[in-house]
Amino acid sequence: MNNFELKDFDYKVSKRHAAERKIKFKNVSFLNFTNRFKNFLQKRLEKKLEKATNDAMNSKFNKFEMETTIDGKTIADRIMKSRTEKVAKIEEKLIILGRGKIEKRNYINTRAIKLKEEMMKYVRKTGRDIYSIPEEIKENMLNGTEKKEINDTKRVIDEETIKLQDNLKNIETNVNEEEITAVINQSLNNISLENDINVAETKQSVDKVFDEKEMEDSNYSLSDESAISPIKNIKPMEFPAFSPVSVIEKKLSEVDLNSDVFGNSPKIDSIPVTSEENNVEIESEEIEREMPIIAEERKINYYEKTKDDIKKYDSLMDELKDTKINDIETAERIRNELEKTENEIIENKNNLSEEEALMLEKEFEENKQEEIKEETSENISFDYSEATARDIDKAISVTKSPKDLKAMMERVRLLQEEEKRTQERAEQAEKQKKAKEQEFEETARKLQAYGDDLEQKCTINAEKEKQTLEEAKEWDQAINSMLQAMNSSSNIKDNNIKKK
Amino acid sequence: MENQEVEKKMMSIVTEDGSVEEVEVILAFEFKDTKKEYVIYTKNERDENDNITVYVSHVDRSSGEPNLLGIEDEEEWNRVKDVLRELSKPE
Repeated sequence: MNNFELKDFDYKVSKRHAAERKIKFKNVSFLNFTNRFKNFLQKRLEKKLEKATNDAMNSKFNKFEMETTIDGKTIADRIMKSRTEKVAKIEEKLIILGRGKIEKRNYINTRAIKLKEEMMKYVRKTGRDIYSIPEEIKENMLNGTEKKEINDTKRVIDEETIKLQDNLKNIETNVNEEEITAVINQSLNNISLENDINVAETKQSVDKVFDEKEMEDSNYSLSDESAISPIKNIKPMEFPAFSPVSVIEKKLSEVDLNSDVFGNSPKIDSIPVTSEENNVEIESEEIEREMPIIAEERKINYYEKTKDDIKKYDSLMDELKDTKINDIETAERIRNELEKTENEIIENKNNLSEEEALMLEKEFEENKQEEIKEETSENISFDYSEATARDIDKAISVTKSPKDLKAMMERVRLLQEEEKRTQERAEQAEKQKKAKEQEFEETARKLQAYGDDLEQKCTINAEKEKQTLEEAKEWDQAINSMLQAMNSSSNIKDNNIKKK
Repeated sequence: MENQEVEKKMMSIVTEDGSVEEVEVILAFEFKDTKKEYVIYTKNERDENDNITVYVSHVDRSSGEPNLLGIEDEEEWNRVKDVLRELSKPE
């Protein structure tokens, strides 16, 4: 059944818009569930670890990064540290997934520093202005790192075992050391037997096939409050906490003072007892009969003494732990601030173009040099931007170190170049301006000419119009006079007719 | 020596009435054919037989933020149950 794939769910907040479905699982099935996901996460982390390790191993630096220091560390150092930190973070997650916990506090920083130092040790010039780890060394390191990890883990386990043994040895008692070991071993055996029984039972339940009937599902309704049972803490994956002190305490607390473990006196074949009556050797059985009270006292003394020693050990560990925690927290805070600064520098560097970055770096270098110069040259402040050659000479004569001189000369050279560039730009701008002006003038002239032409045309048209009007008037007048004449002649004709 | 706890994936669920629940995400998976994503989480509820209740929701990311929706379709729900059965078997 491969129609699905697991996903890493990485959202912290989600909104629920509809009722979810719920389903019940037996504890064992649930554990299988979680183990499956754990394995999936492990594989993903392993892939990420491989990639992060390769990124760190394939780091490339230029001369500037290798030589420029900020607060005592080179830029290359800081870049490599940020990469090894990514590696260490993934390693820590893997360890937590695998072992259930991480023993060392501040694992990431310690591991990152160690890895960084290991890698920077092998960084050398591999090309023109390229510094990196050579290929043949990379392979060796990768193989060596793996083995070293395994050895480290083994070493940690061995160290813990040795510590436990030392602790056992260091406990002072009134009883023989061998007897203590024998007693503890016996109680250990008793407890391990119980565990074996539990494991057998668990194995049986795991082998049982998951039965459909055992899986219930129901539609969950928000209004059905009775369906919600009290929340209990679940620890599907529990790994026994390993601590020599806790082991000893646990073992001792489980020892029954009334049991035969402590009840039996040491097997002593005979003890020479001097008495006033006679020098007689008393057999062991007689000793047991005669000294039950002493045996009881011995039991109690042993237990109490051990408990006291354990308490002292615990309190000492607590004190050391507190001191260490304070130191580590301070160091962590400082480290975080440094990283922020470093990350800002790297981010800014990545966002700039090459030229800008180079300029900025040089500026930074210059600023740094100026600061150094100020410290060494008795508060002389000098504004290079408006310096003349004479002023620069004067300043140079005041400085004390060749480094300052070099920096200043470099600065002067840069300023001069900048000036040249600025001048060129100004000239170019001037030329463009002139060209634009000419163009403007020409356009203005053309417009003027066009305007004049239009005006002329308008005048001519106006005159023509005027002329036409006058002619029309004249025609008008002529027609009127003709009409008048015709009227008057017709009137006369009419009058003549009437008269007749 | 201090021991760091096992890393648990916690999620805050904001319900429709605005209340917030903290749940532990057990796993998430996606069907290859439909590309539908589901998340399985628990509120650590156990019954008298020590059986644990897990919740299943469909994850909708169309609006950018993840929204949890119920599974309405019975066929879809049966498919999801098949996956859960498969995952609950030992590897």
